[in-house]
Amino acid sequence: MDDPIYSVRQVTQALQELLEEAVPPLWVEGEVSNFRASRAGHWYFTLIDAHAQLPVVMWRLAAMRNQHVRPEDGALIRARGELTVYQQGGNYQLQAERVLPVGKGAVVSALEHLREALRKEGLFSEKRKRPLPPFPSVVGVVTSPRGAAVQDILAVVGERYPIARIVLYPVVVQGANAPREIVHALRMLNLLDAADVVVIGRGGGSSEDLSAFNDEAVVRAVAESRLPVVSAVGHETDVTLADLAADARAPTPSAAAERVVPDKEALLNELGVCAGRMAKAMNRRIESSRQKLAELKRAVSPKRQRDALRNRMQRVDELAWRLESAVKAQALQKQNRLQALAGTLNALSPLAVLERGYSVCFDENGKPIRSAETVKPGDALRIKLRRGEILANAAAVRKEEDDGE
Amino acid sequence: MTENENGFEENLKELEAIVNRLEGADQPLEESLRDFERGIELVRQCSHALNNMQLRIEQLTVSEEGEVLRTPIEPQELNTGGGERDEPE
Repeated sequence: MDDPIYSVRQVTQALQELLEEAVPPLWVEGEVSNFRASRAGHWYFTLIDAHAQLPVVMWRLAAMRNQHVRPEDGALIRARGELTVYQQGGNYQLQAERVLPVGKGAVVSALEHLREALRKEGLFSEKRKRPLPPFPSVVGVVTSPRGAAVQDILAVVGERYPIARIVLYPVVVQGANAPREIVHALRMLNLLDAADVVVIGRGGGSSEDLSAFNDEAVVRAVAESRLPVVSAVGHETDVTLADLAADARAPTPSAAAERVVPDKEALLNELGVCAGRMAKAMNRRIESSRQKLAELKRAVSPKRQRDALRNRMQRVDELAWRLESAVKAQALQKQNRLQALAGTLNALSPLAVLERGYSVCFDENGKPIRSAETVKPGDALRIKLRRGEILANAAAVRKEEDDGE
Repeated sequence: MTENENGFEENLKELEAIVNRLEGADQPLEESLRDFERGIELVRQCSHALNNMQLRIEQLTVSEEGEVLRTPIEPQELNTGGGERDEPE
């Protein structure tokens, strides 16, 4: 009885220390059995193979991080963690931090590979992304007609922008046919120009469920779509390659619907603001017109009108008077001129000469005789006096030297 | 093809132009009045459309042979889709 006596607890603790020291964190592969999730969110299951079994525990935080690869009974998985001793149970277990479906590793690396290749090709480039139309008339929707996603989208669009029309292109969103159907739907919507913007997506699911949206053909169809595409696949934490290639990504189908249509309430509000601005501008306009009118009225008040009229009349009178005097002056001037002319004429008349006692002598042809040279003795002459005439014959002619004239 | 289908965007643009013209006030009163009346009519039309229109839904399929099928559907028809859901909630 010299050997020391240990308590059960001491033994268990010693074993735990030994185990933790000897075995670093490791990957264990096996088939899942007896999976159960506690109400607190911890996962418990057993990894088995043909020869042995190993209890596994995943605490709540680890379980949440691995939600997308939640193990199912019968699945072959790998779990990574450290070996610990469950003291109350007296057994050892794997306290896991990560689990991966087997084969998934290969899938994940293929996905990474594809993502990298497409990124290099520029499919996810921001430059490729087109703006969404602000007021789409027709919203195309590519999803399952029986899923939650379509219901969410219809509800949100109907609430926010009932003016729009929905064109639903029904497809299966998971399974072997999903990629082909989604690609076909996108191409047809483009070909028929059947929408202004397209939402593709589905509700949440396992990563396998979302795999159609990581399919290369689908990703390329999204990138090639002439119509802008909004992708909404799964929950907020899921990002697929289709999301990356889309013109806009929304975390959920409801959020996608919010992205593609404007909000009724905001629009109604904006319309109200417009109406207010118009009314205000119009009132201002009318007020200034009223002022202008008042000014005009003042300008044509009765007194002003009378004054203006009087001024006009006075002016007319003045003009009339000036016209009259101008006419009179002209008339007087003309009369004077006429008298002057008449006087001149009178003075020039031969009769006026006779009046002064002179007489005129004509030859027998009636021509006035201006010089004695044209008369020979014996020529018949006619002498015209102021009153009457004398008929005579020239007794003799005495010529005179032409000196003065 | 889908452009001008409901004319909402065009109406909004016209309204915006009218509001700007009215606020500019560089036009005859007569034209401002005409603008104002048109603007109020646009506000009325747009509000009416937003408040009273029902979402229209159409299902579109094109068969492998290229046959285009367009079917108007009611939202309820999708809801009661026969139980089989091909995706989890």
